[in-house]
Amino acid sequence: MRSGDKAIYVAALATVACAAGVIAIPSPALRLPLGLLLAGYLPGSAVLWAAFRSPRTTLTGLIFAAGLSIAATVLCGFALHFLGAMTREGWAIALCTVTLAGLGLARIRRSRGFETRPYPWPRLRPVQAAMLLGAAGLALAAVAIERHQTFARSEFAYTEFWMVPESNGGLVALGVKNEETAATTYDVEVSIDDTVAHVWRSIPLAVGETWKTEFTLPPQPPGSKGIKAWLFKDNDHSLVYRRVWLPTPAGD
Amino acid sequence: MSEAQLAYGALVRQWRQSSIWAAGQRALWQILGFVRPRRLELTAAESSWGLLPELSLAAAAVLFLTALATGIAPVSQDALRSLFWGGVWLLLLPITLRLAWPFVSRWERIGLLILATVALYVLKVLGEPVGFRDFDEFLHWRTAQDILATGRLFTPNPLLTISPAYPALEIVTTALANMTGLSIFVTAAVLVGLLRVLFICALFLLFEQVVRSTRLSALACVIYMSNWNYVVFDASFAYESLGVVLLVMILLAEARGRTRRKGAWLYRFAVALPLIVVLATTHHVTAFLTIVLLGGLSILSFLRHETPLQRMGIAALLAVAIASPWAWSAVMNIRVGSYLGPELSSGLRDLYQVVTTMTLAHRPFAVSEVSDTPALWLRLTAFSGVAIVCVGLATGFFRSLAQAGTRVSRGRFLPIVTWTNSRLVLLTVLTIGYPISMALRLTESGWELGNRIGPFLYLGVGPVVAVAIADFWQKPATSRYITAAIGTALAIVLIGGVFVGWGLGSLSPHYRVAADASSIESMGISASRWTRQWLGEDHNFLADRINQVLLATYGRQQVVTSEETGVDVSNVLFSEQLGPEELNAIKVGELEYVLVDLRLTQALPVVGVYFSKGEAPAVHRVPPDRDALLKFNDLKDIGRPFDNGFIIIYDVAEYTRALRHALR
Repeated sequence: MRSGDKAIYVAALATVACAAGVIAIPSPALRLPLGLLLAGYLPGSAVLWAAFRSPRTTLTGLIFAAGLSIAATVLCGFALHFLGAMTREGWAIALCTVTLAGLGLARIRRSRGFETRPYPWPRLRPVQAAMLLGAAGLALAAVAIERHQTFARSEFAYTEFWMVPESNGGLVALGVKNEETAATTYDVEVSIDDTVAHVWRSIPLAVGETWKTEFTLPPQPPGSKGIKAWLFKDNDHSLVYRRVWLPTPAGD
Repeated sequence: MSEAQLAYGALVRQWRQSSIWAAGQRALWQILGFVRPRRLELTAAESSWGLLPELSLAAAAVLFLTALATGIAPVSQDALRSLFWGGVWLLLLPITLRLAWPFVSRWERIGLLILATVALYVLKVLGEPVGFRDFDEFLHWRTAQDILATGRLFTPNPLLTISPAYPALEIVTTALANMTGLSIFVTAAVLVGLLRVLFICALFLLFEQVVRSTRLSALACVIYMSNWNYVVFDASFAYESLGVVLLVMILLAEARGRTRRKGAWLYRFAVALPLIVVLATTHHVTAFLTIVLLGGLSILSFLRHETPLQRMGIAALLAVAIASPWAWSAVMNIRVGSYLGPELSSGLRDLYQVVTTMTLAHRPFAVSEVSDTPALWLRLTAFSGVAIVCVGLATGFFRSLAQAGTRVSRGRFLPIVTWTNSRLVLLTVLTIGYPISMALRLTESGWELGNRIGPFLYLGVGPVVAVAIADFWQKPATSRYITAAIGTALAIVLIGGVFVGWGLGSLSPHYRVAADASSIESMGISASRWTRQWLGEDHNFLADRINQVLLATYGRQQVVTSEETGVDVSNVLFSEQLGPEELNAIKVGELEYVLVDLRLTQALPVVGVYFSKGEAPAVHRVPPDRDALLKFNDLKDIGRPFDNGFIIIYDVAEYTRALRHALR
């Protein structure tokens, strides 16, 4: 077997393995490098291999392989749109097919293998490699710290209060979410036609915690004054902390 | 001729013959660069990574400390800004100092450029580590969401109607999101990061091909990186981020295709052609600028009497570059002219006004009248950066033409101009647009236009200023002082550009009214998520600019805009009462919900508008009245399903239905 053919078969096998990995591997983090290879390198690399009858391992070759792969991904996207197959399997099979077609063409054109291209990059000493890895680790750690800080940071202290009809059968959902700076106790009152119909007292909610309930609404006669819900905070009934109502008559 | 005139003429002749005049003329010629070209390439004797690992570690440490320091304690706005810009200096100065040193290997130069690009990108990611924050990113996020949710392209996008018609970036993003199972945000962050690396490598190779020097190419890349869109806008999840990468790759493939190596023509047909076709589906403005650049190259190629094969090759690329966007807009039924035309004409009109009246319509460094004024040292850095670029252009323009082998000889009727390097001539001529783009940035509506074309002009500014540095300012000097001065000047140019691109708004740790990135915070996001969970998707919502993008993406709602309905919907929120116009807007927009953000009453909008550019000026003259926003409380048939103390959602579906019924 020609050495060029051997290299092409190895590349084809790697491509199929990549596509199979994308379809079969459950972990998204593990699928990321495989997906990047399929969408960002392999199809373009195969096209270049077929066009130039040799694999392009220079920096220019890598750049063009990435560019052409992106182009192939976009064109595959249009094809998958018409086929209604923009799924994980659809993408993996489409990009694998394009790569294999390129490699097939390279095989037909009796392209060369890798051995004719010397490795052009300068050698990286172990200490230098360790420094680059350390740099990558520090940068990732910086992003992780910032993510943590962003999740922990909240500029506004607030409480969400809502009342939404859930069905035509008169079921209404009521909810409170505590996003204040500390655990809080709430009271909720629902009034129908200005008469208190439902009351929930001393609902303790930790920061980030949500309280939800449902109640059934009696049929509303014409001219009804509607359904309103009031939220009180920390047993202070002198101030309505939040108010919501259903779309019937005017509110306060 | 009078006696006085004769005497004056004699005096002038005498002065011109004097040695001072001749010396002055020689000096001016030297400064401007009317000199013979010389070889400017300098590089290290052996190929190595040089100081790249050490500088990478140092840059990463700066990033790490910046992230750590901002979280130690509640940071004031000024402290955060000082910390951030101090970090940017520490990050970039060592890299520019090293790049200014003439004897650095090609690979180290490439590595340092990648390092600077990645470091700046990580700095951007640190500003949005959990979700999109830039306004334009939300517009494209919605398109990507639609593709992922429906498995189809071209779903109408209420935020940016033209976005689904240019879906290339979103296709690649959703392909990765589909294959990996990661969120669109994470996928986009990885993809855009890789696009940044691809871009800087392709740019280096393009400049290297054009100026035939790794040293000049690296310097040109640093100057290019100082354009105001490089660090934020072109690193955003928006179609131009992919468009510029494809553009530079097309130019690189075209340049590679003209070499005399065997099979070089394949670069044009196997690489450039598919990229041109895909660019037509990626970004309209970049596709148009590709036509301009390839058109310029075609003209130069024909004027230079290149071989028929060369001329045919570039003409074929130009033909495809013209045909592809035209065919795509015809297929998609898009009128790009009507989308971009008003921007272009109003920009040029404003420019004319600025030139004729000499009054600035747009404050430098400010988006609106309520924007913060940056610290003096930051303004000085930015102005110094522009000044250095201008001096570089003045001293590099003719030198670049000389490097391009330009010769002027006497013809029978007109001077005959010849050149050997059409690409360098084109890039040099491109710099003539630089002052125009700067002037456009000082106009109200031309700001956007100047902002967009600037980065393309920097394709010329980079090599020209690099030639000025290598041929005039630094020469082949090995003096550490001169190198340090050049490195510092490069850092000033770069940081000035980063500052202009970043601005101050996006660095604000606190919420600000209608300030795009600074208005995106967890409470608004939570309210929009609530709408999706409890009301369902695709309801017609009316909201201000910031809540529009949150509702359309986190909430997956249909937002009603003035652009879409053709009537001004902003007054529905801000007017004290609902008059005939507001009622008509409710009816036309088929409103179901109105989201009122009471924080709008606190201040004027930082970006200049509460809704969109088309809103009536009266809307943003004073902050809205709280009672006007809460007028829905007193209207019949209107519900209030959500209240968090700052954001209130009104259910107006019944009201709209009654209105439509009454007006039928």
